[in-house]
Amino acid sequence: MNSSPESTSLGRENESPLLSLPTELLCLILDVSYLSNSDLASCRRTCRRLNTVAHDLFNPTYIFKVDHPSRSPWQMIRRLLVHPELGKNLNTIKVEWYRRQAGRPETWTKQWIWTPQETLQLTILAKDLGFDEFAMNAISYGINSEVLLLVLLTFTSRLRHLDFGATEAHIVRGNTIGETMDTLRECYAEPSYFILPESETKTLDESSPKLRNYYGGLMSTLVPGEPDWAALWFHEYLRLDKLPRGLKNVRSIKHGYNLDAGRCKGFYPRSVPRMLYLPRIRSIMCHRCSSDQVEHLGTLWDRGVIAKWESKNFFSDIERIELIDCALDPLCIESIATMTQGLEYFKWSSPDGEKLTESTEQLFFANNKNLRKENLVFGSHCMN
Amino acid sequence: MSTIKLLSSDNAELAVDKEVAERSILIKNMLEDVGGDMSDQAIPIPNVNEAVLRKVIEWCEHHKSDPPPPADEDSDSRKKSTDIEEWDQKFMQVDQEMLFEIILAANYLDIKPLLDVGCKTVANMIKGKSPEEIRKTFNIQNDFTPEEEDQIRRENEWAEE
Repeated sequence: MNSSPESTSLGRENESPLLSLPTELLCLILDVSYLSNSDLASCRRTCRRLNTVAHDLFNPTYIFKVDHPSRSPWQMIRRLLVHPELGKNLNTIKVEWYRRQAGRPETWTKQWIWTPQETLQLTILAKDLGFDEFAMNAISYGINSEVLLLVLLTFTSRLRHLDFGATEAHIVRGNTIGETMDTLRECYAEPSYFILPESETKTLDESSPKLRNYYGGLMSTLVPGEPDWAALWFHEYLRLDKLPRGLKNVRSIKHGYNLDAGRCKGFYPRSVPRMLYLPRIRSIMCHRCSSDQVEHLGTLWDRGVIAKWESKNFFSDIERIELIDCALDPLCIESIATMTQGLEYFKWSSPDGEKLTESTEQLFFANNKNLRKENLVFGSHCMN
Repeated sequence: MSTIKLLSSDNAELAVDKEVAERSILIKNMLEDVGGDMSDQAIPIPNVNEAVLRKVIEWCEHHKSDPPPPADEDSDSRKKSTDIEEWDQKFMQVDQEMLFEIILAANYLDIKPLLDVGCKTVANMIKGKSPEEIRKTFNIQNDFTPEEEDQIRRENEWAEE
């Protein structure tokens, strides 16, 4: 019996009634549906017991702000080089796009400069991960922070959700090559990165071989692919033989495309079947994974990939796929039908309202026993 | 209406309406197992003392005509918010020891809605507080080494960005 409050607190100096609860009940109390991440973060910092319990409930989301003036992705990788274990705590990554814009100096994010020690570390890491020299250049030139996603996705072994947001592959929003170059020129810490004098970018014609040549040379240090068909590093490195390590537990991927960003017309649709190769993937949602160049459809989907798949008898356990406003070769859709077995929902809408043949539909139902008729949806595109 | 008797851990016998007692899934199942007739024999509740048991019965009394909680744990209504109805809030204005005793009893007796109210009450005591304030509130000793504190602070950076 406790006679007075004083004796209670004295007698139980090291005993908190909260901590006397069994772990299962502590988990109920620290439920994420009651408490925010920052509340859980505070709990983790109180004592060892709550840290252990809250750690597993903790659901951290990292907002990856591409080319944001704060340069937060660069700072984050700097921290990660010192404390690689931090990547393990990430559950969700959301990507937001803050590309530089011609004529708007407040968006002209400055070049990031690594220390020599960091450059060395990154070079060793890049070698280990099988990055080519182009990717390593992009990392060391400190302009296009999208390339850092590759690095981040090496450390995120518990990542569940990856949301690319409305992607902008092109690194400057502008209408002309000259505008792009003038914008970038303002961002470099050392002008020596630029070999083309300012006066010339202004006077040379857009189609001048000299300007295009300089432009191509500059772009090859920053983005993968052709300068006019800027791609994302993430797509370049979504290779079947070398999937980024930090994707092995990813359950869902969302991938959109910013229609207002101009110049680049979509992203390589071949990335979609490659995403199906992720071992734990359950849901993919894409907007505008299209090519506007009809002759590229199918080849971009990568017949080689499909052949490899089929020879391996590969089946993805993915449950849900939505391809909204995606101009794709019907062959792509057929291959999805061939390579899935657990689909519960499949939606495809294309800009020109393409329909599937009956045989493809039958293939979907034959391979995916849980797919109900009303959950196989085709339609002309609608942006919602 | 039939009445049954409950025997607390400190040997107090409490008479309760069967309908009220059956808010506890543990008791409900027990009564079903014995065919419902327990009128002359007290059901022992060995983990709960009289004061706590009275409190729990008070709650069951007030909530005896609530709809049964949904069976499916994932899709239920207990998720989402820490809102607590006014009567329950007043009911939970007890000292911490009693609060945690109620939570333990609700868990043992399998009274899910009461367990939820208890957990939400504690969650509300955590919400918006700094680590130091949480320690004060719950009489928790900081047992971290400076290195551990540092490590957790860094891990938390993700959440605070």
